[in-house]
Amino acid sequence: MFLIIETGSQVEIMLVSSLKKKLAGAEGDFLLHTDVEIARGGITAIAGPSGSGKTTFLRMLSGLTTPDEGLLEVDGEVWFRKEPGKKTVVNLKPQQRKVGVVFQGYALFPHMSVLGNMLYASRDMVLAEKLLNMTGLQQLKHVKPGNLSGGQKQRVALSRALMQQPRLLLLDEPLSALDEAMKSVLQDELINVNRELGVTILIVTHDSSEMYKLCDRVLLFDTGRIITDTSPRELFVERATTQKFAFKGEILEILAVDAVSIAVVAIGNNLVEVVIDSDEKETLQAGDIVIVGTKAFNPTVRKIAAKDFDFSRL
Amino acid sequence: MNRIRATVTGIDRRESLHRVMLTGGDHEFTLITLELGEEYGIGALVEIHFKSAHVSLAKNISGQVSIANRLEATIVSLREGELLAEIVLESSAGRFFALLTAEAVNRMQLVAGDRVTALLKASDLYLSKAGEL
Repeated sequence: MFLIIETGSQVEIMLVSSLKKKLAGAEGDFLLHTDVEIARGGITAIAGPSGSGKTTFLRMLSGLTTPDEGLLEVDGEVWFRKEPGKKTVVNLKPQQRKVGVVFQGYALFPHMSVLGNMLYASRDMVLAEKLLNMTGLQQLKHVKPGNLSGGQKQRVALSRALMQQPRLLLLDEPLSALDEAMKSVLQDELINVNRELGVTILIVTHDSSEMYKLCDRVLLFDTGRIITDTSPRELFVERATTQKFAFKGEILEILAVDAVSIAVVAIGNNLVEVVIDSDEKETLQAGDIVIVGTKAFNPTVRKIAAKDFDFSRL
Repeated sequence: MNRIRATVTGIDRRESLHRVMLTGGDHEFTLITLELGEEYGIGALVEIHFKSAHVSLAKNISGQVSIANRLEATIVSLREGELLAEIVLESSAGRFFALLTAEAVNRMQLVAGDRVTALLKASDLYLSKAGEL
């Protein structure tokens, strides 16, 4: 099906039409079959269970994996095209595609400085300086990756990907190895990069707060298909129950205190105690993964003084 | 969480705020919530959930009370701690629990078999589709 060949739209940057790839899954082979249009300038989350085809989708976009058939067009330029049963017409090499890729592993050259790693992608010194300033790496530009923290390394990987002035920036769980505070700082930087450079971003993530904070759209993959295409707000807020305040956590312990039970739950870096009803106690035990929630009427909101809170940049 | 099966009988909406009217057993319920999913239309079979700690009990209640929901119930049993007490109650809408201070139980001299009125604020009630949550 190649019904849409002209993509004169001003807002659309990427068109994926019947892009297919047979994949081997844990429960047998399945077909990755994607049809999607991505608007220019947005940040789109790619979510779904592992083995659902998210990473292969990004690899097909970047040219690291060759699809079996279909059409991929970015900014009016065909990157891949093969009709069923016919020869491949177009298949640009990764370096011919204006695409930046950042994976969870940093994949930096250990013997090169931060600046060296960036200039390897492009010799554009002006852009390198701009990116060093944007990502707070200016002071570290002569340092080698071995001496950098995880967050700093990921900033270098991001800056290097941006050195190629990509039309698309593909991020595969780029922040999942970082702690919550570092993650939050890098999320802000990604938003900044998206706004200032206007680069269109696709990001694989499992983190619902990350999707909510960063993304204007979520594509939910399941066994090779995009089963849901919606906004994070629709996905997490409006489709949930009437509980407004909900966090995923793990029960560490259930304590009996007086006539009540108290569940100690780990949510992110925090431990919270929740008084639970006795019928809930019967169905819950340590190790259970749970949602801790309450209605919008119950949480209190208090402004924090600077002295209460010091999440200085790490 | 306490659960009471109920049917949605009415919805009032002001932007994202909703008042939902329900019937469960012999009782009418009013619930206030922010965004309400489309699946909670009039006639939908739902569960009203509420924490035991959000239940107040009254005996021989008279005068006016602002609390929207009243449930006539009988005390089935009491489990008293030093500070708190858990009361099991039976009503036409089903069985539920209340968590009170032990001091209140003593002051009201609550015992099994007492007829009481359970009071539930509209904003303390949760809604879920029957079987969920």
